[in-house]
Amino acid sequence: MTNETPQFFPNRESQRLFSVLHRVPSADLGVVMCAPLFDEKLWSHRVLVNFARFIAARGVPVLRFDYFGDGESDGRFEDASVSTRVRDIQDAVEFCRRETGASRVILVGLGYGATLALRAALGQPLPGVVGVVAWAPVLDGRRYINDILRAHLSAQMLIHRKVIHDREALMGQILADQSVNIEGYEISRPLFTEMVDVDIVDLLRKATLPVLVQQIGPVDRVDSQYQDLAQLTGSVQFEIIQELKFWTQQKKIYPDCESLFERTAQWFGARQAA
Amino acid sequence: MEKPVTFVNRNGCRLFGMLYVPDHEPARRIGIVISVNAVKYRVGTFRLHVILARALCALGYSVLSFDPEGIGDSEGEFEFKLLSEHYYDIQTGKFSNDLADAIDYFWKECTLESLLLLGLCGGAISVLMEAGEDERVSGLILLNIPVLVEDLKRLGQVDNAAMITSSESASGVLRAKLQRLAQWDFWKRLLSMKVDLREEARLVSRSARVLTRNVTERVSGLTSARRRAAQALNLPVSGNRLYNMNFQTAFSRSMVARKRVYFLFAELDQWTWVFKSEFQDLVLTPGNRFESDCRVEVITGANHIFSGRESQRELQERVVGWLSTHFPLSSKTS
Repeated sequence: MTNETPQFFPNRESQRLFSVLHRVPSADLGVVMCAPLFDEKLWSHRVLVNFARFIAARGVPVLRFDYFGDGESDGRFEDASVSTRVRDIQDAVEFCRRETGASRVILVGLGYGATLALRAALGQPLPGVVGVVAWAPVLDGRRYINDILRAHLSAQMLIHRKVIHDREALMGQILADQSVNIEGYEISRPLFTEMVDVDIVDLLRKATLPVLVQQIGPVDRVDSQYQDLAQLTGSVQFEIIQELKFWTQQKKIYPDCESLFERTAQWFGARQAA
Repeated sequence: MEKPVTFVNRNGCRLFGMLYVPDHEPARRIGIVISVNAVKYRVGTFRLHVILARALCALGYSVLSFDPEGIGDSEGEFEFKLLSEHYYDIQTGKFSNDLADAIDYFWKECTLESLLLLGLCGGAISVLMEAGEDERVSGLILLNIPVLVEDLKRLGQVDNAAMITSSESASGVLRAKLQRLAQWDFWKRLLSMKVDLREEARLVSRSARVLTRNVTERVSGLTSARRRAAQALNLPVSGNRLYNMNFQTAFSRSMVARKRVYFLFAELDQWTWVFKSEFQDLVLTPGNRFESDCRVEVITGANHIFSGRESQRELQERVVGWLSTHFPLSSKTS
């Protein structure tokens, strides 16, 4: 596995983004991975590394990177927003193409990282990007933020033994430009407002780029948030993959995501042949 | 300067890390290794390790954070088993060899004169166990260190009752339970069968037992006898069946080698109170023989991961304060 190069690359703002490039001898197709946010990034990190190794072993180079304000990249979490992360993905695609010689790139994202990948690739044409694989994308930003704010309520219970600021109050605080600390992550107004204001399903409805959306979880029925998506036809393909939700804390860790990896690689194969 | 690095451990696996080297050469080259907590990779929860490393590097300390074998970006396999089993392995020395190999690399790469190790929770017990065996380590910063091991018999089931070991925790639990009786929400949950009565009963009975035991021991003079016996540190000072003797052995070795040890705890973390009842109250009592080399402090209002902004600020301030007292960058004496 010595073909893995950890390095920084500059984004368009000359901020250093930490990355690991899984190199292969030569390739026309490359992959850029878009990590999820918050603790989901930490819980899923090893699975994303294993996936990158799995794909690189099949002759496709993979770039993993940290957004500005995240991981080992420059900046503070509270100074990063959805827009900065979308731009970082675009810069990562450029870097991947330049470093590997691949003319075509597929984005693979998990959780909110999948949502960012969809925004980056479907919002406007992104040179070289020929497809997106969205693992358990977040479609409803408001619901997602609500779930995250729940952690703040639990923390209040621990400290004060009661809830002092409810969710509405916390949202009000963020909108008044006072960031709210959720388990160490400062949620600022730009991140919050941009998270809730885009209709991802609408973006997918208009998509011309091939997109594979995979609902991941232990059950085999369509989750309520994916009901609309499951009906879409055209370039968007929806499917359910039965795996543990490895991006959240589980009783067992580092599950073998064989079916997810195999199915995604199979989809890549179709794009490679195209 | 931050530099991504890799080095090979004794098993032939390439380990990935980040080296933080000060821009200006300090008078003394002091290095700090930040260990991973447990199974999450080297950046730490909400990037706490990155935040700390950058702050320490800005002051002139060199810092290395890295992923042990099978963790994060590093090579190697990580077994698919219960999280609690992984925690147990870590609490009993799983990362010791990789920490030693990381120290080898760091020591040579940065031509260090002095070295410290820092870790939180599983990272704290890991660095303590390594330091006990390693002459190059002069100091330890141990955040929320666990002194009990995971109960493997629970098969991953969380055991909140087992964490009630001190009078403070026990009275806190009983107080909270009493307060809940006055809350309408509790009764609503109770009537709709949403309260786990068995678990509630376990917590209450455990708390009552801990309080009774502590009072009995105090009255009978048993605590004083245990304290006297504990000073030798060759037998387990705690009677808790999950007490981690590796912790005590490594602490004892570090004290014999005159390493500086800084225990820093968070008030709202259960480990703080377990440490107090199972070790601190027995060994680190006022006037104890380790006082000159060992300090214990608690940050008020902080939780296990020091996530609050104020907790992070205070954590940084205290670590920097302790370092500048015992490991200053400007002079040759400590």
